[in-house]
Amino acid sequence: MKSESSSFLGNESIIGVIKSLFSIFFEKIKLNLILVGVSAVLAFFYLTSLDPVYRVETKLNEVQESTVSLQDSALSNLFSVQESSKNFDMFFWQLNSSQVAKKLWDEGFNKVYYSFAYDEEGDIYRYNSTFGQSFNNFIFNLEPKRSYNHNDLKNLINGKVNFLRDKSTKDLYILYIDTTSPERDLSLLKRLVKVTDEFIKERKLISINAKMDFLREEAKETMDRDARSSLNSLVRQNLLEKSLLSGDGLLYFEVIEEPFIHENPRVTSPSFVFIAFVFISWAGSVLITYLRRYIV
Amino acid sequence: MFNVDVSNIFNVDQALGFFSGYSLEYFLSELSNYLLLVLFLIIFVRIKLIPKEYFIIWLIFLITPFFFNYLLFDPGYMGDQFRYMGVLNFVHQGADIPDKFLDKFGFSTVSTVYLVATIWSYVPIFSTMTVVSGAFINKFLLLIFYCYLYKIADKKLITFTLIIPSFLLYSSLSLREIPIIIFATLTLIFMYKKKYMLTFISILLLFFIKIQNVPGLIVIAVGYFLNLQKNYFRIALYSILLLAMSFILYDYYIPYLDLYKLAFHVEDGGGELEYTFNINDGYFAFLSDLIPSFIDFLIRPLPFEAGGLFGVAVFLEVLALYGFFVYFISRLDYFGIDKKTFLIFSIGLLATALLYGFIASNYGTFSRYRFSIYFPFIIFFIFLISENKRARN
Repeated sequence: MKSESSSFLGNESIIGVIKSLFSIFFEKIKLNLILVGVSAVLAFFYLTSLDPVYRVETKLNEVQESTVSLQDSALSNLFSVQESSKNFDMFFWQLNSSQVAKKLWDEGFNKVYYSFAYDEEGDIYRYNSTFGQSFNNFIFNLEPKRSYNHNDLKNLINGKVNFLRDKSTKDLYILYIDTTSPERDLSLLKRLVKVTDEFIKERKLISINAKMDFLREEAKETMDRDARSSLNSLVRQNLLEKSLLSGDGLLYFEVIEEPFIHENPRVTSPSFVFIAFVFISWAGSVLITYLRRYIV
Repeated sequence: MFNVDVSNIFNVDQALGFFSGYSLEYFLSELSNYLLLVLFLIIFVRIKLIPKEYFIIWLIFLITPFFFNYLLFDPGYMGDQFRYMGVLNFVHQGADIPDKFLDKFGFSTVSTVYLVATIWSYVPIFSTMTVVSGAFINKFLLLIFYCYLYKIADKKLITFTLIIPSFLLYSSLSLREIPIIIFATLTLIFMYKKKYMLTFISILLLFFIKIQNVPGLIVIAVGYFLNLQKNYFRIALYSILLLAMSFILYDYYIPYLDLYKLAFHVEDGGGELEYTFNINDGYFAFLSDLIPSFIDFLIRPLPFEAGGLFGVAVFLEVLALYGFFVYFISRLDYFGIDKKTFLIFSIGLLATALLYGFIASNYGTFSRYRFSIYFPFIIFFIFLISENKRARN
């Protein structure tokens, strides 16, 4: 029969384990301290080398309700989500669309973001695959990508532009880009909001025109006076909507604050960088100690 | 400890400002996570929860998240990861979580993403500031889970499961596959041990994380707890009863299956017009749809269908898996496993595979779901072998 002291939870066993862990974790304490000190200095230098991150943002306020919904599908019950602004859903979806990216690309944002890759001879924005991507292409049997195009700009916009929603009002949105090149991204954000709105208006216009044509035809053919008058009033209503579309403002939002650059830049949390550097060096030395003592 | 500031952000499908792959911050965050797990590994080895001789294998197993996202494929390839990590950061900060409850089949249930994120939030981890951090959380859960498995099953066989390619893949992603596997395996083990309360708890958690895995387990639980494994007649009767019930209750369950099938179909890019299954065609039309899709589910994608090395690897793995099953079945006597008990558990496995075979429609999802169905059973069979070996000794 095993004695209590030698069992798994016996005093000696626990003390033995703690001692061995202590000796692994804090062996060569001077060396560890030096390592930690060096890491802290490295962390400091790394922090000083970081570019400040500025926030470029614009504030939008929702002004009217719309009937357009991205959630309309046979599966909406299955994937039902809390009610959020459908107008903004649509706006953000359009903002991330390739149509918008194509227009911005043609307007000259290709030069702004991809000038580094421009090949004058071929008149293309040449794309060089990284080793990882080449490997990926090989694994998945994919065609290698040869040049940048508006879809890259779309992905760039998708990765850059985020939004916040004001919790209290629920109608106020902040579109923002965190960037180390604030001037460049400011011009992008300005155009992006405008172009997105233009596309929404364009789509809305097509829908209104189709609706008006249909209503006019119906009004012509209807003999009933009341029905005709109702149809004509609907045509007038659509005409009003159509005229609203020609305004300069955004369709669903009013711009509370035009795109601007925040004065105070943001940097990666210094405490995160310091603690990560120090922890990695200490834990790395613990691992090496353990491997040398027990494994190798 | 460190997480992404998500206050006020309500759309968790976005990247949320995670550190991008292969930036220095990414390495600071993930190397810290890895080394924290290594420290836990050292502690577990020292207190003999994990055998010392498998230390190196674990060291390698824990490092694999560095080799999948960003290196082998873009995280967007399995874009759900952003959602899980987003909600996890919400939970860490105590922020108001969107989509916490969902209406499913007329009931308000807790969202699977939220539940998984809540489970993850209890794991001590250095940082959740990249989309890969969830993979290290999964690794930690596995570390704990394997401590338990080492206590109840053959250590060498259990360690072998760590090198299964799909297991390496899914344990290296910030997805819910690992919690699913853990709860499904625990359900099987607790069921076998007839620990009713623990079975109930694990099956309940599984219900909220992955409802599709539950019916098969309930089939096993009912059969096993009613001691139908006593003789073959009872098992045959039970099988016939299940078949009859699938016919009688067709009108009750088929709308739900249809909804899931359509959801998978649409999610995989199929249009509603291309969706040909019609619940009104009746039970036998359902069977004629089920059988071919079940066969597809078992073996597809074939190497020439998936393309590339990845497809070949997936196919070879599934062949090896069936080889293992065949070997296991042919040696049941040798392992000292009761054939009737094995049959009861196999009925549950078959039921789950049939269910997935019917609803899944994409080759990529085939391999993913196959893995989350088969892997718990692989561990369970290893547990059975160990139990009987122990009993014989």
